Amino acid sequence: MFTTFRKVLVANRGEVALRILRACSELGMSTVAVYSEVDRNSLHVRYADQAFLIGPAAARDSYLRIDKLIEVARLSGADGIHPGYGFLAESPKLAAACRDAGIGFVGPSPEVVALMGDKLAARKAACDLGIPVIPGSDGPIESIDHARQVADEIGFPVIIKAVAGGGGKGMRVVEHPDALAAAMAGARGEAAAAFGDDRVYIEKALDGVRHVEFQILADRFGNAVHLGERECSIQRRHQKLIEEAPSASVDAGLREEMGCVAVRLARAVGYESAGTVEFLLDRDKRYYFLEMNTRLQVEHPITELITGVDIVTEQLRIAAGRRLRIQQSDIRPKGWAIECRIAAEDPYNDFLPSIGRINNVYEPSGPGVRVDSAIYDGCEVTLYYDSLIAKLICWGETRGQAILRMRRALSEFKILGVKTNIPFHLQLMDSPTFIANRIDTRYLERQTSVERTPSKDGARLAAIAAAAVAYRAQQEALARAAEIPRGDGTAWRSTARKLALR
Amino acid sequence: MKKFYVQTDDELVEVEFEEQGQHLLIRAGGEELIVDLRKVSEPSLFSLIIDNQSHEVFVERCGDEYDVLVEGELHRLKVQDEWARRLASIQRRTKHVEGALEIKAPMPGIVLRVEVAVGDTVERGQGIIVLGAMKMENQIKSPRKGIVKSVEVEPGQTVEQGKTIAVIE
Repeated sequence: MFTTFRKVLVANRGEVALRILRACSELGMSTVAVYSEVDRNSLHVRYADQAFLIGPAAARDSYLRIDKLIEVARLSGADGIHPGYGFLAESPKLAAACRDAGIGFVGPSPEVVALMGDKLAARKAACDLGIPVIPGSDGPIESIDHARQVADEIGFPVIIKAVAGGGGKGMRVVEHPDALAAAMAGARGEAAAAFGDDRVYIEKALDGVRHVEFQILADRFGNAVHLGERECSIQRRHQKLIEEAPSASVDAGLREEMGCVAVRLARAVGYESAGTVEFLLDRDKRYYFLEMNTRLQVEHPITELITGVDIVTEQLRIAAGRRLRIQQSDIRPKGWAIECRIAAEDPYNDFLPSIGRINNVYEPSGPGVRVDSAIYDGCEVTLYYDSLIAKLICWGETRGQAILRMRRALSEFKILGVKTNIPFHLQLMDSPTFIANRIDTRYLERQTSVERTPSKDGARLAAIAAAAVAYRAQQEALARAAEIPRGDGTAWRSTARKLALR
Repeated sequence: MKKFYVQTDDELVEVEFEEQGQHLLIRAGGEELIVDLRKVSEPSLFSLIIDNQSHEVFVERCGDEYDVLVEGELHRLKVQDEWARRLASIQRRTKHVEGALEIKAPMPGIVLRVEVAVGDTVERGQGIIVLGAMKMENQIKSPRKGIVKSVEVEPGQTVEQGKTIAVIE
């Protein structure tokens, strides 16, 4: 049995690919990048020791091609594959293909990936251990009558979820019985398109709940620890936008209880690697198992900042067959960390994706600031991949300091060429309800996207700025017009003057 | 001296400019300000020092419409010089009723669904099509009330930014 990888293939792109490449590099492992035709200039290609083109831009022809990945691993002699998050990170097929090829998969076994990927099976596994689950159907919904019966039993509102779920696809909240049939059809269609599996189940839609998740680490020898919780209630369309660790709503007693539950579940299913057990937490501090993610999470850095544990390094060690070197008593979280997901989306236009060339990037830095990103001057944001372009993570001694620091860092962060949701994050850091921790998973639905409520001082500054820019532009245009020689019988000069004045 | 008019959300501001060496002398709202404006990054990042107060602002221009982003606040402004203002007021007086409106794709993407048919009456804010890009579904909405005159795309079609999706009247 090997105890370290010599060469690791990173089956991903973007900031997470860089995150993994960095860990490998620090551990002295060689690295292999794969890339699609539009990613030739990407940082993950440039930072890796080796790089292989695996296909056209569309993910299904490149980053989702298991056969190509295995082929590149063989060609390059990689003995490990890290899938990152997204793409194939929760594909039992990739985990199985790695096993068949004798390559170490950085993640749990294909059986565990499959078990937890089936949301009903995961729910049952939790139930069998006596972990509270959200009231709902025990199996897939067979018919519309079955749906009505379940919904009537648990009471509206209910939420329809895809058995193969993930990323909010195939999910519908139903407030009223009349809307049930249409929502069922919609959810089934979306689930079939996204996962090739149209099975759905129903759970009660809980109101005023928080999303609280526990990071766990487990090795193949049955050792497992938890690294505390993350609060991820700030979501839009079931996509997390802001996460913090710890959660201001979880006290030491509850942390120990929920952490133990997460570890118990991991042990019971024979979990190996880093993983996340997600819960909903209601106002009365009752928790309900939601699902388990069998991969590295986007928001893992906030846990790293408060625990000092490098989660990717631990994943690589565990996958190489080493024992967990941390015990539960070693975990002593310090301070507070917040992550803002910076996406190429226009917060003033319904969060529509913004595509184009990033001319310039000014990344924040200074004490307590970490930026995990893969953008650079001149890079292209394309429509082929996720709109997440950077993660800004700030640490502070207290929640208050972390918020103030995040505000400072956000105001330093300048991305030119595409619209980003940075203004949205800035407003949230100023929001009294967020600061007071009065949040739940439907917080953003009530906030009616981004309010454009300019302050008086801001409006004045903006007016001066706009007028000054207009004035400068006009002066420059007039100066250019003046350079065109006079009296050559053409109308160029007068036309240029007119255009300048327009 | 040169005068500009800036229409903010709730007032019309007159801004006068005078060159003063490296700086601009600006008169606005009864105040005199010394302003130093520098473009620090293409295409839209400006550094602005107003009476020694330092600001960084994004200024994006589309005709005489300006989007100014200051400290996470977006300001939509209209800026005109005297000449343009006079011209606009003449045009306003002679302007006729608006005709057909072309709804354009705000970004490239794949048409997932078409939610209206020719002849439908649409309300302002009603979905016209759903465009897929970056793994997300994005509903393109009607900017005003009207009747759908034509639909120019069909499901499965890839569209470029600026492509006409539908025409409403």
